[in-house]
Amino acid sequence: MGKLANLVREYEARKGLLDQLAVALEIGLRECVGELSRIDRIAVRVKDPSSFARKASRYKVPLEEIEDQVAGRILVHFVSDIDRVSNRLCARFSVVEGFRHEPERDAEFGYESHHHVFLIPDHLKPDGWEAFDPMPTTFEVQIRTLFMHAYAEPQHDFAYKGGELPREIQRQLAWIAASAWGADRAYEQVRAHFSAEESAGS
Amino acid sequence: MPDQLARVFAFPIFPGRTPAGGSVPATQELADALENAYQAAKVDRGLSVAFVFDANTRARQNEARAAIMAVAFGRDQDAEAAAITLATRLANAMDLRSKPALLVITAHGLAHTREVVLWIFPKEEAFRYSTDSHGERIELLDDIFSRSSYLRKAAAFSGRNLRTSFLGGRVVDFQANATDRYVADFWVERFLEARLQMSGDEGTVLFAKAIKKTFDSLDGDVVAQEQLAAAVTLVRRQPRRLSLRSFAEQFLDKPVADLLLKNAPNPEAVDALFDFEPARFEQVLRFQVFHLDNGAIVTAPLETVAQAVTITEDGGNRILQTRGKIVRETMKARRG
Repeated sequence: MGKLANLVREYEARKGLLDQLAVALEIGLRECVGELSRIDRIAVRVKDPSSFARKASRYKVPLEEIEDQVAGRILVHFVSDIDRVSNRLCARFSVVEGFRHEPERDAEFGYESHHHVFLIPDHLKPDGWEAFDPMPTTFEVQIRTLFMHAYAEPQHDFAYKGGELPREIQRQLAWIAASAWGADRAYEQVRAHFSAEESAGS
Repeated sequence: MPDQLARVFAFPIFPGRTPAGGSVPATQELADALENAYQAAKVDRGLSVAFVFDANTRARQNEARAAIMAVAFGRDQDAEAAAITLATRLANAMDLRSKPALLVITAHGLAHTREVVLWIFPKEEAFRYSTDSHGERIELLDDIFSRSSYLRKAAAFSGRNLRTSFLGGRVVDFQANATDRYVADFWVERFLEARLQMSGDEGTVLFAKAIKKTFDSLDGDVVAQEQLAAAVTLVRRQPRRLSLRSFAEQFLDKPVADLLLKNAPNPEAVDALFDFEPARFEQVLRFQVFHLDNGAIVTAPLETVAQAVTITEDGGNRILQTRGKIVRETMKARRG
């Protein structure tokens, strides 16, 4: 059996523990930000073995180093909600890093999302965790608006094989990304208008 | 249990002074003594802590973590320089209230996975009694460092030489739940630049849920319920650093304490220390609900129980009394 197949088998052997951790983390995320307004949804998932296999070759110790083996996603209504959620999460969980995925060039539109990597707390590790080594030490949380999500999510359905996309497709995707970006800005202004009106009225 | 002892560094530390010291031979006698100290202090079951990183970068920079990893994996001269960095951090983290101490840094293992243990053994005075042909003698020893002092501290970190390793560890600090936060924070926050893995927010929510579950399961046992409610009132009025176990042992009789600990989500959560946050507690557990024999249901905010709402004993019955001006009325559907 090949090295990758062995690795995937090892990953599958751990998946039950990762599933239990995902449940505990989802409860934790809901406790932490669930009562905030303008949260559309909170979900935690365990990486699919085939997705783990695709990523594994990039790492020396993939069973530890792949940081989204368990990953959460929080969708919010407005761009300004992202910091609100992010601050809450960083107060509750031990943050390891935070970064904003966005196109590198100013005039480019594409995937946008805010990511945090947090330490998996010892008190949330399910029984039996210590029996396996290596194990992941971190989990990831993505925070994005509904429009950022609307751009990113449908792309999982495309049978994208890598390599350069045709120019027309690239332009179509850039147009969708720009529209999502613009919609987020426009909604932010609408929100600011109503919150100013509400403060003036109170 | 730590692996084979590979490196040892020792530094006598005096608060605020530049530390002197360095590498010492990793003898079997020293290895055995440290192993015994590790077992006695139950370092592997210590408090879980996490290094603090900047939440807005991908750099994962933390001076203490970098030095600890260099002690574990660096070349000899890099490991020694990193040990000096740790000793200097410790001297700077101490203040004049801190006792001089011996900092011992050990690195264990030579394989991919390694462990670093940091120890503080406080300076103490002792008598040595001896007898020889000249008779009995007592000498005062004032340059010893105690292996068993209540003020000793330890921290252990293990993992691989990866950016995903050495992000958190275990700490033994008998003063970590001291009411004096300066004392409590010296080892974890100022020296290690770390935090408790269980945040105040999470710990308080976990605590509130365990209290509710325990309170509900004590239905009918009025004395136990009152004991639990009184203990919660005390903690809410004087917020402190606690764990489910420390709360249970300090305030509750054994049967109630056992029940509370059983209601923790897992054994690790029983001992995890956190800073209790009264405001957060009240978001989760704000009201106490009393069902009366006349069909009335009284919902009282916790802070009003025993004050605006009083419970008195009358012929074996508990009688609720309250009196106040109505300022608002609402109607509510029955849930479920």
